[in-house]
Parts: sequence; C-alpha cells; structure tokens
Amino acid sequence: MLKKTIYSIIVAGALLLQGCEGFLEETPSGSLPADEAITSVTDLNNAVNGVYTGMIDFDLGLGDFTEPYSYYGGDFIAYADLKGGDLDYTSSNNHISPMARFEHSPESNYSEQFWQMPYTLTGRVNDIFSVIDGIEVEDDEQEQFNDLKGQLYALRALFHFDAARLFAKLPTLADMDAANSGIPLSKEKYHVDFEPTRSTLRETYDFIKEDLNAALGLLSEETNLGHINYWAAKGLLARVHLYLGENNEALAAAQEVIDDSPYSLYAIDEYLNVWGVEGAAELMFEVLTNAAHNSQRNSIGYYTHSGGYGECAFSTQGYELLTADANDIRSQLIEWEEDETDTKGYYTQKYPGRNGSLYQNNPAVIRLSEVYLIAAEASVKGGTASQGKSAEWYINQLRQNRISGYSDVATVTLDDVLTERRKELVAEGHRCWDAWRNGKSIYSPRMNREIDGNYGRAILPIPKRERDISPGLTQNPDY
Amino acid sequence: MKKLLLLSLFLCTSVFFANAQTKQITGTVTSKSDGSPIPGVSVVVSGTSTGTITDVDGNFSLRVPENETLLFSFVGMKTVEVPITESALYNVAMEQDVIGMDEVLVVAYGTSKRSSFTGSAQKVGAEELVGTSTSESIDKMLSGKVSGVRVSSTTGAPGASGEVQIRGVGSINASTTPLYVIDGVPMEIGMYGYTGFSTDLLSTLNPEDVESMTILKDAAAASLYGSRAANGVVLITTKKGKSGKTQFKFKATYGTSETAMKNVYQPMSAEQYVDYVNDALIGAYLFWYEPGLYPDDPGYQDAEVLERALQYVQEDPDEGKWGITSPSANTNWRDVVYKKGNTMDYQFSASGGNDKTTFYTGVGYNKIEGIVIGSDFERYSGRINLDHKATDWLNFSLKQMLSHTSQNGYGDQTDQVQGINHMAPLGMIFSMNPTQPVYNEDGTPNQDAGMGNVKNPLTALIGTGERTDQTYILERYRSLTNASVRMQLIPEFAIRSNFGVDYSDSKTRVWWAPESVDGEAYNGLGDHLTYTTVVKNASFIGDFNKSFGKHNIQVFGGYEAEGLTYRTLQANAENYSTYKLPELANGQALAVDSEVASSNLMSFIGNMNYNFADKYYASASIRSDGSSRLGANNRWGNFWSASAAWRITQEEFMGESSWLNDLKIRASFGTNGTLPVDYFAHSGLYTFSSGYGSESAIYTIQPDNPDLSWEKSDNFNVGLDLRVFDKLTASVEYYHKKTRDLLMLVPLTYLTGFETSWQNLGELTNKGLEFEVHSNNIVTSDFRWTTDFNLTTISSVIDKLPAGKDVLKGDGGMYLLREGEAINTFYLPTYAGVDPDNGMPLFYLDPENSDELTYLRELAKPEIQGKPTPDLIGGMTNTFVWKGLELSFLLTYQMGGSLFDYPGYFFHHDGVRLGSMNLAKDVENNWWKKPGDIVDNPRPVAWTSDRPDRWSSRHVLSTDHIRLKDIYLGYSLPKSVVSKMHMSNLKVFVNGNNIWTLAKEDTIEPEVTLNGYRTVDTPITKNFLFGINVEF
Repeated sequence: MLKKTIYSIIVAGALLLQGCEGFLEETPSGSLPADEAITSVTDLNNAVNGVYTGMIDFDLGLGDFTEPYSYYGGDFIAYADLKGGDLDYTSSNNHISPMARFEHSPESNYSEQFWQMPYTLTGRVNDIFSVIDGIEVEDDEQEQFNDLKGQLYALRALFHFDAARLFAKLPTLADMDAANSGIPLSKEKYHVDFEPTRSTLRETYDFIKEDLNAALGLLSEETNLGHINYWAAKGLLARVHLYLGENNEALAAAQEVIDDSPYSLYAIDEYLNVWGVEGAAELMFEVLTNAAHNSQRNSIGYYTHSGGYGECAFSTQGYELLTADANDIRSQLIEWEEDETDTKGYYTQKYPGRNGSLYQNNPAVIRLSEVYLIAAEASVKGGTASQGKSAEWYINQLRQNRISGYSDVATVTLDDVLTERRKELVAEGHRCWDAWRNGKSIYSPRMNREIDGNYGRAILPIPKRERDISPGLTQNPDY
Repeated sequence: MKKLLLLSLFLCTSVFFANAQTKQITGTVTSKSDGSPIPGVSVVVSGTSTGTITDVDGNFSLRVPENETLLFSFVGMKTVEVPITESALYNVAMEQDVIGMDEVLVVAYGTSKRSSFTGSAQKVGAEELVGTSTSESIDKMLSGKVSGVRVSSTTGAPGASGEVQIRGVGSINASTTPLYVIDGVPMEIGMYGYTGFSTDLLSTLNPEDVESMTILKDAAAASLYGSRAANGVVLITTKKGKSGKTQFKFKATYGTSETAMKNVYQPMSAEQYVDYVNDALIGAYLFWYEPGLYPDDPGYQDAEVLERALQYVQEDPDEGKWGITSPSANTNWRDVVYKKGNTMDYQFSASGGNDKTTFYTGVGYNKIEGIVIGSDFERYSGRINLDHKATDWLNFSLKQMLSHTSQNGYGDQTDQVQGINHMAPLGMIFSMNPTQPVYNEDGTPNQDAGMGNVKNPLTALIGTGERTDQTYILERYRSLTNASVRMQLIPEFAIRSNFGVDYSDSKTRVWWAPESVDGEAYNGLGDHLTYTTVVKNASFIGDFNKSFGKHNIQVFGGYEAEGLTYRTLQANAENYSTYKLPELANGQALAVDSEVASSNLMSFIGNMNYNFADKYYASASIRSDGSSRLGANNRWGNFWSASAAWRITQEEFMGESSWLNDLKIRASFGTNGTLPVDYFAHSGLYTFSSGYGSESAIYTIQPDNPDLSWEKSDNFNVGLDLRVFDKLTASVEYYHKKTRDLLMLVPLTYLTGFETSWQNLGELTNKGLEFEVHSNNIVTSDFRWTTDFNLTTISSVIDKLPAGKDVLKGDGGMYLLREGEAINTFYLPTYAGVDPDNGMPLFYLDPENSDELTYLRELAKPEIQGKPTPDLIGGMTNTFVWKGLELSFLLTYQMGGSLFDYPGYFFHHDGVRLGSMNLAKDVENNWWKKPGDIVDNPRPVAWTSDRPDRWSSRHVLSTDHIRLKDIYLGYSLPKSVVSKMHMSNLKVFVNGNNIWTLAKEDTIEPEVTLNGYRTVDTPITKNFLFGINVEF
C-alpha cells in the first residue's frame, strides 16, 4: 500500500509542474500590452514618437493597404490647397484630386480617412496618458518627462484643431454655442463600446486651447527636430486664436515667437535651397520622413510632381499669382515638369525629396513665416499686444526676405496679408481655410465658381460608419 | 537466482494444477460465415487467467478445471460462452459481430460500451479505413462514412489536407475544424507553413497505425473537451499488440492518379481560340473605335461599320500577337502541366506480446507524385506502442511516433489571394497560348508559348537546377510521444495519468531562380521559413466504479494542463550571383524575422455515468477551462452536459420480441466552446517595429478587451437506436446547435484609436437530421452482403449580427451575412444570359424589386445566389464477400450547395483578358456570333471596360453530385494454401477512388471547402491502386 501511495504522489505531483503561477498569462513576442510597453521615460519617448510617425506613415503605419491614405504625409496638406483652388490636378489618378471637385460623401473613403487619421492618433495619445502616471521617472529625467507630456498635449490639440477644420464650420462663420456645432472631443482612453457625440464649437476650441496651454507649461524651449517644442506650440496657439478672431491673443503669442524663439526667416539667397533640408532655419515643427517611414504614393512629394501622381500642380490662378513678380524669389520655386504626358504642368519645388525619393519630404506643420503672417493678420484686424508691431512691419520683414529690391510699404490691408499667405504658404495646407475664416470666397477652377465657407461641402460629412456606430452623432447640414 | 525463483514458481503452479480437478481439452474455432479457421482467438476459462490462443489453423488445446465456462473472444466477433462438460472436444463457430450495440467505443477520457453510451458518437474502424486509397492523410478517409461529417479538399496537391466539418459550420470567424485527439492527447493540426503552398500537419500521421477513429458529435460526447469541442472531436486510437504469437504484416500498394473529372479546367482548342480572338477584336473595334455594340450606339447593327470592323481585324493591328495567323500547333497545355501521378505505399508491422507486455511496431513509407509535374509528397514514419502490466494494479504504456515528410510543390492559391498567379499550375494552363507548340524544333521547351510573362511549365515547375526554376520544398519532422500510467489502488478506485509531447518542425525552402517569372524582380530569391511547434499535455484522473445491486456508478474527475508554443524563423536573400546555388549564403541578405507565441489551457474535468440494470442510463459531465487566449474577466469558462438513455427492449413488458433486438432512445443537452483563433485577441498591444526619424517608435495597434470570451454553443441532441431481425441496426438523430457570442470583428469609433476589435456578438444555428443504417442483407456460410448508409441534413443559419446589420465580406463583398440567411450566402448580380439580338450580356438591374434588365454589370444590384453549405450529404457502402473475395464500394453524395468558381471567372473572360489568357473549353461554339444565337457566353469584346465578366450569378455553380468515392476488390487466398506458405493471410487487392462522378456541373470539381470558394488550385485526383497484404 505504501508503494501505491508513493507512486500516486509521483503520478499526481508531476502535474503540478505545469500549473504554476502565470500559466494563463501569455504575451506575444512582437508586441506588449500598454502597461508593459511604457514603463520608463525612454519607452515614453518611443511612444510619443509613435504618435508622430502616424502623422506621416502610410496608413498610420497600421499596414492596412486596402485604401491607402496619409495625414500630414500628404493627403491632409493637399486637401486645403486643392479645395483652395491654387493647386489643381493634372491626371485622373483620383487619389486626392476629388477634393478639388469637393467630391466626398458620408460613404466615401475621404470622409472616413480624414476622420480616422486625427482621431486614431488622438487615441494613441490618450492610450499613453492612461499609463503615464505609472512611469518610473528618475530625478534627472523629470525635465524630459515633462517635455514629452507637453508634446502629447500639443499633439492632441493639433489633431482636434485639424478635425475641427475638416468636419465643423470655422468659428468665425458659426454660432459657437449651437448644439453639435463642434466635433466629438477625445479626452481619454475609451472602452471599445464608446459612442461619441459632438460638442459645441466653443467647447471644441476651448479644449484645443486648454491642451495647448497645458503643453506650454511643460514643453522645453530647446529646438527638437521633428518634435513640438514650446515655440511650435506657441505658434499653433497663435494660429488657433487667429481662427477664433482673438486677435490680441494671436498677436501676443506670435510676437513672443518672433522675439524670443531661435528661428529666423529664410533669406532670399537661401530660399530656393531650404526645401528638402531637415532643420531649416524657419522650421518650428516638421514631421520627419525617411526611407522606411513615409506616405509612399500618398506623400505630398508624389502628389506635387509630374513623375508622381501629379495631382497637385499649380492651377492657372495659382501660377499667375506666384509668378506675377519676377523679383519675388518664390516665383522661382516653380518648375515645368513633364515626366509623363498626362501629368505635365507647373509644380512647386517645395517637396524635392531627399535621397532621391519623392516620398521623403518633411511636411512643415508650422514655420516662422506663418507666425509673421499671423501677427500681421491679427494686427491688421485691430489686435494689440504689449510687444506687438504694426501689420506693415511684419509684412515688410517677410517681403524683404522674399523680393529682391523690395521697398517697404506704408499700409497693408487684410487682402494684402491673405495674398501674402497664398504666396508664402502655398502647398502647405492652409489656403481654403485662410479665405473662408475671413468671410472670403475662393475661386475653384474645377467647380468653375466662387465658393465660400458657408458652402455645405466646404466641410466634410461625418463618415457613415461612425454614425452607424454612434447614432447620436449629428450629421453636418447638406449631407 | 531469478531463474531459480521462476522455476520454483513454475513447479508450484504445476503441482497446484496437478492437484486440481483438471483435464486436457482440444478444439477448433471457425468462422460461422465461411467455415474458415480463425487464428488468434482467445480461449479463456471464465473468471481465471487460464487460457490460450488458437493457432494458425484455429486449433487450441488447454488444460481446464471442470464445471467452469470457456470464453471464446476475438475482435469483430461475438464472444461465445461454452460450459465445460465431460467432453474433451470443443469446436466452436464464431459469428461476426455486426456493429453491435455492444462495441466498445473510445470516448472522451475513457471508453464506453455502445449500449450504455448516452451521447452521439460514431466509430470508424481500421477495416473501414483500409478500403481507402488516399493514404496520405487520415481526415480524407472519413469522407462519406459518418453521418454529420463533411470532408472536402481545397486542392489535389499531395500533402495538402482535407477540411473536416462536423454538424455544419460552427463559427463565422473562429475555427470550424474539430479537435483531434490521439490516444487521449489533443494533437495539433494546421498549416504551419508558407502562405501559398498548401500543407498540413495531419499528413505526418501514418493512417496505417490507426486502429480506429471515433467522431464525437453532441455535447454528451464532446463537452468533456470544453472550450475546444464546439466543432466536434475526432478521437484517434492507434494500434496495440495482443498477447500471443508475434504477428507480422506487410502491405505494398502501387497506383496511379489523374484528375478526378476530365472536363475540369479544359482549355479551349487552338482553332476555336483563333476564332474567338477574331470575334473579340471585332468587338473591340465596335467598342473602342465606332461604338456599335449596344442598341443606342450610333453604329449599332450598321453593316458598314461592321465591314470596317472586319477590315480592322483583317489588317491584323497587333501583328498576329493573338494567334490570328493560322495555328501552327494545337496544344492542350493541361496535358503538359498535369500528368499521370503515382502512389507508392509500403507498410510493415509486427505486433504481439505476452500476458504482461504487448507491443505494436510499424514502419511505413508513402510516396505520392502529384498530377502537377514536379510535385510530390513523401513520408517515412515509425511507431512503437508498448503496454506493460507491471503488477495486477499497475499498468503503463508508452507510445512513440516519429515521422519525416517532404513535399515538393509549387506556389498555389488556396489562400484566396486576389488575381491569378501565372506561376500557379492552373494559372499556367490558361496563360499559355494554345496555338504554340510545347517544344521548339530543336527539342528544347518553347519559351515563347506564354501569353505575357509566363515560362514554359516544363522548365518553370520542375526543379531541375535551371535558371528558370521556381520551387517550393517542405521538410517536416514530427514526434508524438504519449506516456500513460494507470493504478488500480482498490477495486473501486483507480488513478491514471497521461503525458503527451507533440513536436513538429517544418522547414519550407522557396527558391525563385534569377530568371524565373517571380524571381526576376529580385534577381533570384531564396526564402527559408521554419516553424517549430511544441505541445505539452498532462492529465491526471481518478476513476471510481461501483455497483450496488442493479445500480452501476462510474465517476471520474481530474485535472489537465496543456501548453502550446510555436516559434518561427524566417530568412531570405536576393540578388544571387548564380542560379546554381540556391542556398541563402549565395545571395545578398534581405530580411530576417522571428516570432514566438504560446497558448495555454488549464482544465478541471468531472464525469458521472449511472445505469440501472442496463435499462436506464444517465450521464453528466463538466469541464472548467482557463485559457491564456482570453481576457482576464472571462478567462475561465464552464462547459457541461447532461444526458440520458432508455433501453426499452430491456423492459420486461417488451417481452422477448422475435424481430426487435434492441431499442434505445437517448437525449442530451450541453454546452461547448470555441476559443479565438488569435492568441492575443483580448490584449491591448503596442507594436515595436516602427521608427521615427532615427529613433524607435511604438504605438498601440489593438485595443484591450478584458471581456473577450469563448464562443458558446448550446447543443441539443435526441436519437433513437435500434436493431431488428438480428441484421439491421439503424439510428436517427436530430441535432440543434445554437452558437452564441460569436467572435466578430466589430467596427469601433475611431475615437478609441482603433478600427475594429474582437467582440462576442452574433448567433448562429446549425441543425439537422442524421440517419444511419447498417444492414447485413445476406449472411450465409460463404456469402455476405452488407450495406452501410448514412444521410445528413444541414442547415446553418445566422440568427444575430452586430446591430442586426448585414455584413458583406470576402473578396469584393461577395458573401452576405444576414440574419435569417445561411452563413456565407453568395451575394452577386444576377446574370440573365445573352441578348440573342446583339450578343451583349444582360443582368437584372434590381433583381429583388423588378424584372428590368441592363447590359451593364456595374449597374446591376446584387441578390442572394445560393450558399456553400449543402442541404444534404451522405454516403453508402456496399460490401460483398464470397469466400475469399471481397468487393466494396462507397458512394458519396451531396445536394443543395453551391460554389463560387473563381478560376472560371478568369477562363470566361469575354475578351477582357484577351492576349493574356485562354478560355475554358465550354466556351467553344458557345459564344455569340450572329443575331439569333442562343448561347451562354456573350459576344467577346477585347479589353472592354464594361467588364461583363465580373462576378455574377454566372460564377455560382451547383455542387450537387454523386461520386464513387471508393471501390475495393480484394482476394484472400484460402487458408489451406496460405498456411503451406507459412502465412496466416495473403490478400491481393485493387482499389480506386473518385473513379466516377455524376455532377450537375461537370466542368468544376464540386468538393469544395466550407466557404464554397473554388480557389485557383489543382483539382483532386482519382486513383487506381494495386496492392498486396501479407500476414504471418
């Protein structure tokens, strides 16, 4: 009997070897859960990089190649210029060119992907925020930690600002307090069954400003290639104030950047050579591209060349505006390209590509010229700030660096500032909003008429798939 | 010393026997049916260990005590009891046991007598498997033999697996394959190979080693396997030795194979092709230059325009590129790509043992040369099964299988990739120009025969060390180890333990030589992929058995743990400096990749069987499973079953019926589950492979869902078994399986940061009737005719989807998931045939609402076009035995299902693919040529952008068919002859499978996988085999 007992113990005991602690906890070899993925400041840095790379990587880096799309890498930049009418497509490749025809419906990929991009990346930000308090921060890492946290706030603000411009009316054209006038706010990590609803436009912009101000309290003032620093966030805040018609605040923020930041305007003799250069003097925030991470055929460089899709050439009005003054160095940043007969046309040379690849162009999210133009616009609209200067001063400063033999002007109008914006910021994703938020219209060569910001298709429809998931999401009028 | 001890023991025993009242008896055991002697019958004095085994001639002699009973038993025969009288001669004739109610079934974690089993399970014995000639993989052998089981193949490539479904389609997104359990240990199956090169771990198993398979169908039978049982369970039991004389068996088989249906994938002849091209170019002129195809075209039925079109074609705008000049050859490239395959199979086994130790050893060699040139499959396998009884209370066994398989093949398309691969053999048949000869005049393969960039199959498919080689080689090692021990601690209580290790190592080597079609872009590509899987399983079970009067109770409970780990390693190289050396070192390194993942399962099981006087039966089971694949909130799940049976014939009020031998009704209810396919579907995950600038970047790619749970199925089963006139057993069953909490990829608001997540939503129901009959139609002393028949009805309907919304899935949204409709319903525009006036195709514009027609497919709305799951499947086997001669054949049938003919879409291209693809033979003389023609295919229009060829009801074809699945003719030499040759059995046989098929559509292979998608693959084969079986 003893023998039987001993054997029994051996037989049964062998099993216990398997049933040890954590037997049912398994993780994959190529990925980790959030709380294990981000445990140090280095991890946090990589996670913040993961938000940035989504801004330029093809399909947000998700490897879903069914409907290619890109955010700052190409599609989002092209959107405002194609709708603005200064750029136009040559070919019938139909990747981003339908925007020039205001061709989008709730079922179309455009509305879905322009929704998907900012919100997916906001989701990434919120996912990091959900574990950020669990990170072990050494004393000497506190500054970096704060900076990274600040970047996350600034990015979340930027994504909401973009989504608001795409899916909601511009603040100056709308009743800010009307129900559902804004966009859904993505404030935290959500459960998979979350159903968002729209906020008011005021809540939307308050949230954007709140996040930017939170960021400014944390961000470093050092230049940080490919990352948002204090100055970039300040410049973005200036832009947001300008959109809101808060001219005093816009001017104050812009002036601070102009006075104190380490950036300087491009000079005439360097203007043709700063494109395609990382860390050029004006670049406050550029998104980094390289051979491995870019938007491939949906990249802005591929859109703006005849050898690519050729979907962002100059329209006649755009070409004429830019080339009106032969002394303006910006007129020389245009080339006739004819790599393919069906894509021939005049193209901007802002995206020449690096390492021989049109895919590798770092899109500028904000650069110093724009800050001058923000200051000028805020000033011309009557904005004042303690260090603020006149609109003429800002415009003259900029033009001196653009036009050979330029003589300062004594007065500028709002139209002068807006024209200057068209010239300086063409193909950088601003045009239609700059006109519309000022109550102006643009001429669309493809629609063959003037279009103002109250036109229904000036904004995108809420994608049908989002409204299927969240019936409480109100659709935009005219869709 | 030991010897001395044994000797004294022996002496004592002898003395003991000498003192008892014993006597010597002799006898012969013969078969009641044919009078032939039966060797190996166990003859035992009831209740003792005294006994012997009959010799080759069926004779035995034994010293026995008086007033006892002799028990004669033999597998497959009814046990005979004979009281020992004064006689010294005991000749016994044994009767075949006809799938009796009392066969022993291997069931979940044990065995059960058929009569007392309350669930739904069916056994397929080795003898039923033997008659099948597809010796590469056991799953294919089940075809047509078991009700409720559907077996199908994606491809006829050697080494590829079949697809087994038990009782319909259990899931939309999770697994639909049953669990395989070998000798009590779950066994890993699956591809573990290179995408685009079909293979399955199942083919590592030598079917010859299998003693029986049991298919567990309902909850009562399968719920003990809990979270993996929802699609049924296949229990495999390997062979065991029997004590007695060592038995040697040798079997050799040789055979040939060809496509099962000769009309499948036949290309158009050269002459017809030239004609077709001509018409397609006329069409092209009328489409592109002077529109005149459609009634509202300006040039419609305008003789002058047509004249100019003819002129255009006469001028030969493309310089004979399309073979418009008279054909110089008429090549059927199908005959080049497909050849006669052949099969070789050699099996040798020895088994035997003594009272304490029995063994089975078997070695096998199997080689199949596929019908596609250059493809083959080879398996070496060995098995040792050892059982030892150490003491009267301690048994243990060790089973070990080792096998090596290798497979040479080609890139195939079983994974439903978009488009047609010009290197897939089937793609090649149609990408070759039929007007071109196979060889040049100097005898070398004609490399200009392809349309577009296609090489001559003679050089592309065969790995001959050429610069155009494109080869796929898989080598696989597998080891299955199973050790078990059982201790009978007291008569009522025993404990047992089982340990299994399942190891497989699969190495795929892909070689695209620098000048091969796909290799050119890389200047040679070598790609090596290794998959290693290790599954460790351990279980510990306690058994309790007790009878109190007429109450019999059997209880067991235990614990089981299983861990699976797979590891991959992939490396590839490009830019080879020579085509002669395919190893990676001879190219430039391209990429490396590796991955490791584990999935673990921990379980507690319990089972109780109760029976009262072999009349009333009740069973209950429970299993609690914890899985690493599930979210923390739902990691553990309980699965249970309850069942009962009533053997009415045991009731006294039934009396002794002259015709009704047995009648049993049974019912069961219980739950099963299915785990997510993805090991980590519940976990929020960050990917680490990205970068930003020069730094690393990580980001979240999957949301966490701690609530993720199993798919659960509620199974109800009611059945009736009966046996009448001592010759016919029948059973009828009704099953109803409702699957809840289906794992669905549910769209999320992008505010979560994700597009979709796996959630438990959706319901579907599978239900049907199963009907089986086994009949001994005629049994005389030298003739026997038996029939086995089965029929199953299947209905797989979706009950609930996320938010009740239709889901379109599959390629181009061709499948509809809709509440109330069958799973994977085809959803495509309806083709209304060809307009006889002008030859243009017609489609219903809005078929659900009107009869209006349109010429343009893109305007036509889709409607439901049938479903892949058949309504009815089944099979019938008839066996005739006359003396040593045996003839049996199995017919299988299937009705009410459809398939989507993806290859047919390419081969009925209506001119769209002119110049890159030939057409199917059924288009010959079956396309529109002149007004009034009533034909199936429209007027061809080269490169038309209207795309009439795009998917429509034209590509949905019926899978109804009857097939002679197996036919077997064997002859066993008379025992008298054989014994002179010192053998116990010598049998020669011929065997065929898929010999004959009667199909509604004879141009497509109707046995298709559960989604009904006919991929661009090699069709299954028919085989003719000759073999010899020797036992001594």
